[in-house]
Amino acid sequence: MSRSRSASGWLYVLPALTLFTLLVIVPIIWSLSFSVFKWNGIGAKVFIGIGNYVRMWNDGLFRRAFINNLIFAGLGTFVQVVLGMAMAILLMSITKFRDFVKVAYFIPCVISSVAICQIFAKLFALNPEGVFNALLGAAGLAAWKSAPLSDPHLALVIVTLVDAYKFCAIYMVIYFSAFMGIDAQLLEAAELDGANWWQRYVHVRFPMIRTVFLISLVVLISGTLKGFDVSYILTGGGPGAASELVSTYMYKTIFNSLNFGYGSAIAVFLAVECLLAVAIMQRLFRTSGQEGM
Amino acid sequence: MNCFNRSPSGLAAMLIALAATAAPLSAEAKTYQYMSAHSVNDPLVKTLQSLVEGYKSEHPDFNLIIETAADRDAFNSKLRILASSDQLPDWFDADPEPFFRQIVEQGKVIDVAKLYEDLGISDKFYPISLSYPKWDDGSLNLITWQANAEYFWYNKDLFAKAGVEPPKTIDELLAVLAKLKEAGITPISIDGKDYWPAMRYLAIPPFRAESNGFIDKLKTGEAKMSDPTGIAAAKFLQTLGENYFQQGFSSTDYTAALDLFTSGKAAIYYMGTWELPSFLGQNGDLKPNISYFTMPIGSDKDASPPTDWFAVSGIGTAMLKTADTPEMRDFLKYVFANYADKALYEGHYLPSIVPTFRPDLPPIYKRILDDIAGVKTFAKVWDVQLDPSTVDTMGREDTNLALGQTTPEGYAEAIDQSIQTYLQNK
Repeated sequence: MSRSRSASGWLYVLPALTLFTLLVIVPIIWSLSFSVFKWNGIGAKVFIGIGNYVRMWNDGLFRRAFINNLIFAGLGTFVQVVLGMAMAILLMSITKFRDFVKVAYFIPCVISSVAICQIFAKLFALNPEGVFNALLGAAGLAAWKSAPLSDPHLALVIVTLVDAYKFCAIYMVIYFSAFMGIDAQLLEAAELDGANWWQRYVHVRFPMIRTVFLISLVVLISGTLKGFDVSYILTGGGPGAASELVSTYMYKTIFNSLNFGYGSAIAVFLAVECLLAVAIMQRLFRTSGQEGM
Repeated sequence: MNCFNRSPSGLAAMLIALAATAAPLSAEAKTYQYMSAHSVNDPLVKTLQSLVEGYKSEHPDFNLIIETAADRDAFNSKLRILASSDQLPDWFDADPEPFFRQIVEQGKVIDVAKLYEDLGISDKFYPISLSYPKWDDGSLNLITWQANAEYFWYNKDLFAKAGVEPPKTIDELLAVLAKLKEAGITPISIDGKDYWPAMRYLAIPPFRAESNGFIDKLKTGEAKMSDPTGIAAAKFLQTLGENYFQQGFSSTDYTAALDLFTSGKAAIYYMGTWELPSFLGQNGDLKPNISYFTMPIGSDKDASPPTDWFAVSGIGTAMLKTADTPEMRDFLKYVFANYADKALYEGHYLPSIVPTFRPDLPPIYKRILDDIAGVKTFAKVWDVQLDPSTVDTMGREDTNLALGQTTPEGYAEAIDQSIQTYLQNK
């Protein structure tokens, strides 16, 4: 590549690179610098080196939030992939009212998290009785009525499922677009070879969208590792710390506990954790033959 | 074609003329910013807004813009960001808690006691409205707008159904709750999403046993939650949470808890008199089926008299020293001269300043204001007294305790550790 072509390449990249640097790199460096101080947001900062990171290591609540976050990311990714794929396949199977169904599926994505959480909070409420408990009552299962959002064993699962419900349509659109992009001749050839509906998916469609699928996995895992809004709004991380995630804990550490230094250390951890997850996945994909990921 | 296309030079001349006329106005007019912790529909905000409008009608060069908050969390986050970037507004709401203390120590806000003295209004306030926002050293940096008592509101019909009377002691309270539960009635409705209501219940036994001595010592590390008084408090909260709070209390928000009580589905609801309008009938007095009792006593060995309980003046308002100008003083003089009656008769809430008692005032208002005037030592509010980190820990652990997810001893250990961490890092 000539020098001028290289320069023009950088020129094209420059706007995005500038924005990325300002919005991602600079805040990370900023957080990194705060993380070595003890600072309550007002007054003098006291340099404590890696003190905040040592504290993180010994912080039981942080460990709980981290484990919760892994469950949230694992379960959330699985549910969103399965639901997104199922909805995409359903869309592929219909021809009439496809756009209408697509828009209907996509509605939760465009509704604000606050509204979605309010809907689910009312749905699961016991006092006043929400739809969930009313249905249990109508089905003769009044003894099973409960407040699942107040149940420490269920709160995290519900938060994860509500988050998955809100965002799974994004993956529906991605998979649907990928399916639509497959060369029709390939599918026709498979059909002529006697492949049935399921075989065409398993042997033609799924392999053809493998790269898109893997990229969606990267986006999903890094996104769920940073999950915040549904947990914060729906349960506030509770009851107790039952649905606390790393990002909600970080937010509370900074704004409730007024520990900007420790909160920044958690923010750095979150950034490193996401980068690490993406790097591991890239390595896995490369070893499984997906170059260019 | 519009005027901008027709004549660029004309447009320039117009802009210059506009700038010339606007400049003297902006130099004279003074606009102050007030960041309120209250929502836009809060009667306090409406009252203050009305006073601003009233003052502006005679002083068009003065303006106070009130910025309201969606909720307290959002307000706190914003205030803390503004404070950390040295961008505090002229007026802002604050509690007398450790974060605000640091703003005070930086010398940014006015001495409100001195302001009251200068305006000659120190004796116009209810004692609670002067003492609640004071620091331990007696200094005062917050203007208060309300005088509120906190009561156990109860449903008389449900009490009658269970055959119980309002309790006088903590033991009686537990007996009443047990009978209500036996009668198939939800004994207590509580907003478990917010931290403060559970903290009030937690603080009752220590206040009766040691008055404010326990919380005063707890926050400085002289007392521990694992001391007998603290453990007794934790056991009390756990008993209430596991047996008498409504099912699913931890995900019940303020409105849902209030509705549960006002719709007659729960017998007792602990709440401040800022919520009084929800308990009033059309005649402006309490609804026939609603009454209240005050904090029960522990025993005849209590350190606090029965007439002392939680009374609060609500979140206060601080004013930056840079906003303490002659025109602001004049505005404040106008506000304090007109505030109390406007708050009571138009806003229908209890003002911090003693109002005029007109014959048309519903008796309940007078009764509560008399109650408030009778409080000698108000119970200190734990979520204001303790450091923010411990408040956060306590809020979370209160829920765990009330749900039976932790033991009183485990709870106490978590609280003590949080306080120790705060004191070590202070």
